[in-house]
Amino acid sequence: MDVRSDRTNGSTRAVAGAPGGLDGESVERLVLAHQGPLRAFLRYLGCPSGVVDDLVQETFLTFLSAEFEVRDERSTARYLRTIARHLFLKSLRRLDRDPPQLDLEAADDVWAEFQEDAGGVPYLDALRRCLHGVQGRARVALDLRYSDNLGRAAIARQLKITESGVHSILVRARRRLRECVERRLRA
Amino acid sequence: MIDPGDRLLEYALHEVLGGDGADARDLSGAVRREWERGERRELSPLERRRIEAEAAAALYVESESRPRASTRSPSLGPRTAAAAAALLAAAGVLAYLARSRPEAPDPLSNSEFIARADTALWVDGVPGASIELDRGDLARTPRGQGALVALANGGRLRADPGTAFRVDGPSSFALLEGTLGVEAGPAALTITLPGDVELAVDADGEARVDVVTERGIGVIDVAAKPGDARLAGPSGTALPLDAEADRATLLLGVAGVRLASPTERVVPEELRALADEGLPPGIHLEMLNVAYLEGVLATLREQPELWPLAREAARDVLDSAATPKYVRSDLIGSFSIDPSPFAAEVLRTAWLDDPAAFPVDAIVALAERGIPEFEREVDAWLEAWDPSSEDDPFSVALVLALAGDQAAAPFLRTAIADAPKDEFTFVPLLAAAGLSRLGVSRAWDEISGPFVEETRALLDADELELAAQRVNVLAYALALRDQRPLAGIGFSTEANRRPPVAYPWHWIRLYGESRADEARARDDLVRELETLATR
Repeated sequence: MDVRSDRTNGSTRAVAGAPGGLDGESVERLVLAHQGPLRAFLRYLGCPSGVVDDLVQETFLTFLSAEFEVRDERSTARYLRTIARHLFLKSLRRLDRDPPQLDLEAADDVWAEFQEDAGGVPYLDALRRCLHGVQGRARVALDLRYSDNLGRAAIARQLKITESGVHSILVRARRRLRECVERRLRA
Repeated sequence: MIDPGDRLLEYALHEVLGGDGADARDLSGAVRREWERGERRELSPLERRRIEAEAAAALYVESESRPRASTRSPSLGPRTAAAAAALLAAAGVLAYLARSRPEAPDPLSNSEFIARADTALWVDGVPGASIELDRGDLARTPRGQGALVALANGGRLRADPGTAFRVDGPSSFALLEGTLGVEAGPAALTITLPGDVELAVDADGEARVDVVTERGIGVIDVAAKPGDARLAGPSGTALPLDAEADRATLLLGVAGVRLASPTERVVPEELRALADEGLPPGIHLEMLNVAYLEGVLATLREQPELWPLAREAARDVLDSAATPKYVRSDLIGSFSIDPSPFAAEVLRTAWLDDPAAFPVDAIVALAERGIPEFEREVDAWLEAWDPSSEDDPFSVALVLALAGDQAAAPFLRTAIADAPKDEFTFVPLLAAAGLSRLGVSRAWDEISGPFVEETRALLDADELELAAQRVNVLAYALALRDQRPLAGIGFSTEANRRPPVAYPWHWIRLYGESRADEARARDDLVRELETLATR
């Protein structure tokens, strides 16, 4: 349910910017419904974990102070992502960091497709199954990278191979995983 | 650009293997409290306008390329000295509102630690993700990255790149170098500054604090609390901030210490120890000065993981208005003959900022390496070249020679003849390489022989740095001489094909490593020179 919708007349309309139409409980429900996907979206964009919560919170506050015509959950989610994206870029600029090398509009489309398919659960399940098929050094490299958060140099030391070797292993493993996931999702 | 599908997989791998989302906090209560504070309380029309303006900027401005200044608080414009005090108060309110939001949430209020920073921070020499800061921690941001520091009392600090500070308490920090911005937080923060502090207020209500440190002079910008009596002085008045004259209470805004000269960094001992501790092995603060950059380049070939630090140091120097033109050109020249992609990256950024700082031969060298911006520049020269009006016909002639244009030959011969005899220059060697490309090999034979001999003499005299520089240029000139078509060739291709040779000269000089290291380094260099000399 979108807490900002007024369906009494069978239609939805804007209530943002009209605080009288909202109460505290409605705000909490809005946050509960969208905070998880927003966090995930920011991590997907590459937001450092230490600032994700701050940006999520600022996203909601900006949303609540903006004029926004609520139509449905999907458009609300998309609007929240738009705010989060801009706040993320703003925070990068403030920190003098380069923006992510992503076409953000295309990235949002990919994310929307992922999220709108049962919150991404099928994709993550497919990935888990595909990971069973990755064995040996590639699996070790994936675990070191994504579970232990090690950089390429540290992985290279552990596997006793060069950094470019690690790079090749990870690139190949990810390519195979992506193909496997997409195949499973199509099926 | 990254394929969003790849990024999605990357995210999903973090989720599945790393469990990234497992410890998520519920923000609903905090957002509700925040919203009620901001929306339900009585706001002045000015506060309301400010909040609306911020929301609009966040939503619609960020993707545009308009200057950052356009999203700042409104300028107050010129004003008379007589109205300075009144306007100062107004400016203070605007500055406060521009930098404040409704009171920040209290994300860490139940925490035992004092603050938490994201990954771009070294604490007591250790980098890490979501570092928790405790009393007494010495922290610094790398030169290329800033950090957001969430405070346990609800505030948030921004540490700009290259900032070093010490955590003295929940609301107390000692700023050692760089800039700390206070982005949110109801509580006053005390930022202790090194040395004596005096406060000066300008006509726009911005306060500037001159800091006299033991070793130099810096500048601190302070946005003051509205209505603070200590700031209500006439424009230009210098006032001691408080009796101790070494503390500034910063409510919201920015405080920073900037060193007086980027070419002669004055580094307090405390900071030096801190920085050296925080930097990875192999690179020390003093090595980041211009004078050491050439030597650092050699180390970086051996330890490329240190490049981000050197890159930021170079950018600092190139970006600074205080850097003399000749230093800027020297640095660009040094980087332009380094084959690493990192050096190219520094120069690409610098090119966007200040193309006029690039010596022509550096542009040519970079074009030769196949870097598109510089190739375009050189192409433009070739199209528009008028030898009679060209200030530096040599470089253009060299490019023409590489493209096989015989019209370049007279200019290259002139360049060789006009090269100063009593001053070292690479021009004759490069011109000879160009002439070789035009089928005239005599000049190369005449010039490269003495060049190699002089380099051997430098090696015999233990002038290893100079010798290393000449060996690099010899390699580059040979690459120019031997390659055929202009498109697709590049020094980087040639250099990367050969195993890198490490010249740890600065290690030897700075740290007095063993003579055996020096001998080994010289042997490597001799071997490299003799290999090149036979080509």
